[in-house]
Amino acid sequence: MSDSENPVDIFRGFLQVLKSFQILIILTALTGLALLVTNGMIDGDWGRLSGGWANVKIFLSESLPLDWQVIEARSYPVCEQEIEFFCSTAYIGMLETIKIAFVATVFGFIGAILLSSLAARNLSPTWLSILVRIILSALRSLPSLIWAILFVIVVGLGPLAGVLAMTFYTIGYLGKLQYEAIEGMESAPLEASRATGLSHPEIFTNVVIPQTGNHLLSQMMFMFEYNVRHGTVIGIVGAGGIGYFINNYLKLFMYSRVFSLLIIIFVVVVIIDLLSMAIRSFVNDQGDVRRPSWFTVLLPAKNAVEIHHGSAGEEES
Amino acid sequence: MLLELQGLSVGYSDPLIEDINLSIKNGEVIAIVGPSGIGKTTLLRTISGLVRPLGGKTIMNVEKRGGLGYIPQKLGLIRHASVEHNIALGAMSSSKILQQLSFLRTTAIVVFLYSLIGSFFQMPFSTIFLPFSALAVLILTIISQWKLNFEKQTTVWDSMKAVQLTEKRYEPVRRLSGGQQRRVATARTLAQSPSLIIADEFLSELDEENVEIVIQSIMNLIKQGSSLVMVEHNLQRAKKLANRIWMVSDGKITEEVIGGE
Repeated sequence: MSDSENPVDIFRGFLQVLKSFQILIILTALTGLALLVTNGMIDGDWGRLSGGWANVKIFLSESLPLDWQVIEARSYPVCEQEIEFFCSTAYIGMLETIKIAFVATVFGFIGAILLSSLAARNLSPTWLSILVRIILSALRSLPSLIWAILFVIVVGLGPLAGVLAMTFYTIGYLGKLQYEAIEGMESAPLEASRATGLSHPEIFTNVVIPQTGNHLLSQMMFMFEYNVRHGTVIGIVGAGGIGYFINNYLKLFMYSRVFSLLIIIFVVVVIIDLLSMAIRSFVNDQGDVRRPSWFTVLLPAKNAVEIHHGSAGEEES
Repeated sequence: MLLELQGLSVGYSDPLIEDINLSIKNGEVIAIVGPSGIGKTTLLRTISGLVRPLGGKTIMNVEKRGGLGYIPQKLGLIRHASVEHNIALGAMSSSKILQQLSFLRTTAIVVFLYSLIGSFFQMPFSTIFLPFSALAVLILTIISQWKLNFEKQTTVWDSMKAVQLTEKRYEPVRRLSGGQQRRVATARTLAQSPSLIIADEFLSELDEENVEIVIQSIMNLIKQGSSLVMVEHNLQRAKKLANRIWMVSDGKITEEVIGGE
């Protein structure tokens, strides 16, 4: 019997084939498990999904066409601006939401960065990092909506409650993202600076922040975007912003106006994402390497490489 | 004696090298030679205080801050920061004034945090301390930055010149070649001017021109009384540069006296 016909080798070969499909197998298993859990939760009544489409149609028919009165001046108070848009519910609400999100992100970022430097295990002793992690978990365990309800009780209705709610949640959420980014950084720069005797704040400000700047910036921009989106939710409980208007329109069943405001939020979120991309390009490798064109992204690898190199040659010539 | 290893055992859970009894004087160059994976890097990390020894002790007569310069195998550079910033870290660790400023600033930050949280919960003195501590943090940060900029103008510039990287001053390190990056790591040590330099394979992957620049710069420090402990795979080069060679094999170190240049 030759080696290749040996049952052990055949089994090993089979395992090798399975290994090459391991990601697919894991994904299939996870999807299967998720479907099984869903099935348990809805008691096997998948028929509800088929009825859902009719409800979507009703919702869309009530929401469309969109009512763009939200970008026109409100009837009261009287608009004193030259451009009507500046007196519209969309502008006033969105501006307040952006202001709340901005202030909360800045304060939250400062709080989070101070705490995350103590929570990262590669920078602090274990007892301290566990203690700070517990504080961060406590801040994060309440969603911003609950924080907003609490602060509406403490400081009353309005944007201040929104700012405080979002700042607390931002510290908890951003703090976790930050200490994980710090723990994931290369150990060599830390070791080199620690061996030379630099202090903890010096290492943090001069080594950790420049090295993880890309992550920290992207997380901060993500958090700003998150806070803008959540500004809509906390507005519903009276903490200011565009959510206040959305809540009013929902109560009056004016879905077409709600939909218009949602589209405005979507546009603002996309603009923030583009801004984030531009800001991050200063601190990462983007721009150092040639990026693939849209065309080549959609092609199979072999053809993409051919076109990529071909066009590179043309550019050089 | 600059460094004394007394019955030192190094490793992570199991010992890699045991019972090391060796010492280093000022102005000496020691090359550690041995096959890969035998514990040379672990020995350097233990001497640098990054790894706890499994047994024995290390007695080092260098200043706690800035007395030891460590060039890890992966260089330990901040990729996204400029050449100047990376070299300034060396100057920073050797500056006493910056250390004192850093201590004062940390104290001010702690007081500021107490006041900030305290003013919310109405803790004693918190509202009085709040504006003063914020002002102190601001002023101390400005003074530290001013002092650091002064260091950049003098020490950092000289170190950059020594490794011929003045033209790349503001370039992020990630855009430099491997050889240039090693020169940045060397310049960082030059700016620090430590009594003891620990270098892990810092001449590997370098072309002849870069090796010459790096060796020249480091040797200038040695002439001023610093000592160098380096891991070197090229035995010929090790014999040329070092006064003594520590040969690692079978978990033990044997010493060979060379003389060196």
